[in-house]
Amino acid sequence: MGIRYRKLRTAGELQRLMRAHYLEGQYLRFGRPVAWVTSGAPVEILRAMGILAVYPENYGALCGARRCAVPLCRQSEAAGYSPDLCSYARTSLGAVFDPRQAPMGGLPRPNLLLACNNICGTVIKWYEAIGEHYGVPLFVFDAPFIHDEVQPHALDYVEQQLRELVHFVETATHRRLRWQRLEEVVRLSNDTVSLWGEIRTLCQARPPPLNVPDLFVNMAPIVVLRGTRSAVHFYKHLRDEVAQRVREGVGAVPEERHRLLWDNIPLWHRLYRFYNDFAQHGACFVVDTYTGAWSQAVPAGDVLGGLAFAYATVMLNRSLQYRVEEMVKLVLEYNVDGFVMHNNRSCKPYSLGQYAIKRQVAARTGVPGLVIEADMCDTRSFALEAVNTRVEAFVEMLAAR
Amino acid sequence: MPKAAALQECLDLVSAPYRDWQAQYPGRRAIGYFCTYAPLELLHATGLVPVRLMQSAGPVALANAHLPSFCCALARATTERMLSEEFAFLQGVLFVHTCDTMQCLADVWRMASPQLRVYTFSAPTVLDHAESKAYCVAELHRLACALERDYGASISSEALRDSIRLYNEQRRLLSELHGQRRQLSDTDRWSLTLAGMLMPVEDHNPLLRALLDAAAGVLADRDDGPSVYLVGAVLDDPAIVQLIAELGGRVVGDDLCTGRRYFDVLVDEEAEPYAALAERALQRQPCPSKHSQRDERRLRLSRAIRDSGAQGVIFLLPKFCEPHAFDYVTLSNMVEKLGLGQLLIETDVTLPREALRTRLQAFLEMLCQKDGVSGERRQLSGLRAGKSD
Repeated sequence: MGIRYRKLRTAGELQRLMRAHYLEGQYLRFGRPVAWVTSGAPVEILRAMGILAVYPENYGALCGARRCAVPLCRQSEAAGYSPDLCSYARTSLGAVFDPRQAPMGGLPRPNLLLACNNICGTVIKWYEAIGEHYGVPLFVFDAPFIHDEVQPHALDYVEQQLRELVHFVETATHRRLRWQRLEEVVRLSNDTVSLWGEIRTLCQARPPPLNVPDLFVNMAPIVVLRGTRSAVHFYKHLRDEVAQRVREGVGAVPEERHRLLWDNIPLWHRLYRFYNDFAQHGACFVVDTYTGAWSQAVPAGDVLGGLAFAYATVMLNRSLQYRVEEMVKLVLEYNVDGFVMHNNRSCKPYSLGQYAIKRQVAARTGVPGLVIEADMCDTRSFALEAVNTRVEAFVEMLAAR
Repeated sequence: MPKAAALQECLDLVSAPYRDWQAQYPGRRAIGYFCTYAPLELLHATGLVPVRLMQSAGPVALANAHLPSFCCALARATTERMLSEEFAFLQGVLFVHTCDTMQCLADVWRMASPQLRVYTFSAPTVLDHAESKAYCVAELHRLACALERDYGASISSEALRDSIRLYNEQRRLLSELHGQRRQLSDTDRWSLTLAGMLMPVEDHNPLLRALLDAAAGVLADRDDGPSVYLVGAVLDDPAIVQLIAELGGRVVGDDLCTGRRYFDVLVDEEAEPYAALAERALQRQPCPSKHSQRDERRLRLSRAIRDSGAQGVIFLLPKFCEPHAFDYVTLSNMVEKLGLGQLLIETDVTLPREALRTRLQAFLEMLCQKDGVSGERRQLSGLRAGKSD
């Protein structure tokens, strides 16, 4: 039994935008160098230098959603990579080792690599492996983890690396950075980010205009096209459509009875099916912690200082206590009745502390939480029946409250 | 102290390090740490005894409420010990930023045990950016301030220099211990090394000195048999080394964080102490969670393995350890190019001793055949191993 999924009008535009992004890298480079970049890296500098940025993480998600990640993971495992490693990394490396098996033939060959450890340490090793395979230079952008307050010496260190990064890219590509252009790109980046923030805030409405799979699908441009005009256009259209839904009282899920919060990367391999199982019980995920990671603007003022601050302080680079505070805020702001945490085998920084977070958020808000064990791409680490049983029990418990 | 008694003290400490620590060292204040990037000299200069927190054997139950199953045994087993109050003697714990797991563990411990004093040291991940050292020095000062505040101590440059000299002495002695392979058995050597991370350095140094002097000229159990190089993370239980010895093999070198990565490279005793500590952290053989633009880790390891004359490499890979699991692929290819044999052993909470014995035996035999060692000699090794059982 399916439920009606209320498709967004902008869905076609999103598809065209993302297709153009991948085609551009494959066929429309016009001599521009290609960089492989992590989702939390200061891409504005690359964009300002006319470098095409592509995202192995987004590619991993895409393979997960198309359910073709497992054969690629197997390629990596055959090369010696443990099946316990991140499935984005295994998917991406599998596509590197055997592009014939990979959707769109894999990502376009890189000229340089940029990895930032503000999301995890895995990207360092993953990008070292890519760099070794292609024999291309890698810049690791080191954003020290923030257990307590943001340290001024850490910000200095990060800002100094931005200067080194500029030098690194100039040397690798023989292109020069125009600072004025960088400021323009940062402005576009901020426009994108603030539109995205607006869209998320609109979901505080009743009935909620979006369900979390909408956020996950529509977050792609905020990651891969941040700092471009096309992303700004797209998010304006999406914002308008979501605002219209709110005005007209159109909800993403018919008969919304429970408002939920999602924590972690989704199960890309059953994105709609998974959330539809909840929707059938009238449960809608009105907010999540993951897509919010891209709603932080670059502060005004000196552009490098601003970029340093924005990239050093992203959510996954901060303590569990900080994440508790953020989740408590979301529970209150979005009037949430429960939260579901994906204990994601692929993502240690996001997942290892979830039990502690769950206890504190539940105690502070009085709202119940559910932890499910799965993997974002690797379907071999997913026990459907076991998860379903827990989901059903959780929704029944919500209904009884 | 006679050799036997000194050795026995180390063996006892390594087999049960934490339960009776305070009784054994009354009046001493201990601080726990996990990682070789921990600035031990700074802790020592505060008047604390750094005690390394290791996995050791034992079931994991309480920790399952705090950490998921896909988390390394080091994190789960130490969390179990923390929850079961075995670490109650510690004045605090220092977490150094290395991998994603250690990063989370610091916060998990803070949340699980609010009365525990948790210190963090966000060491740089990239070792050779222009500002890596300046950042590292500033971060050391931040840690020093926190320690001074909590322990009412003022860490003088002189005290810090004294601590640096003591730990350098330990590094020299451990280096000597691992360099002169004929004088002590591999198992004893590893127990002595681990003991140095558990007992006060002032106690360990003279004990080690005396043992090395007493052992001079004495031939340990063997000098033949296939030679292996160990590569991996924490070797907290000498059982694997003992098994290798029982099967007639010899450990001729290592890249472990309870081995050479602990005692490799001295701190400059003349330079400004904070700068000197940072310099060593950036210059020593890196852990795979660190990045250097010149790929220092592989270059140095390749050289060290060649120089050791090892016939084979044993990778000790803790299950769910991402940095080492990624590194394994690169290093395995490197060992292949060096033309050496290799064996991967995945370690977890418990060590399956008998299965391990079979695999090690097959590997060591393979190494013998590969290098054309005669069957007779191998048989002899087997007999000797039988005797010592």
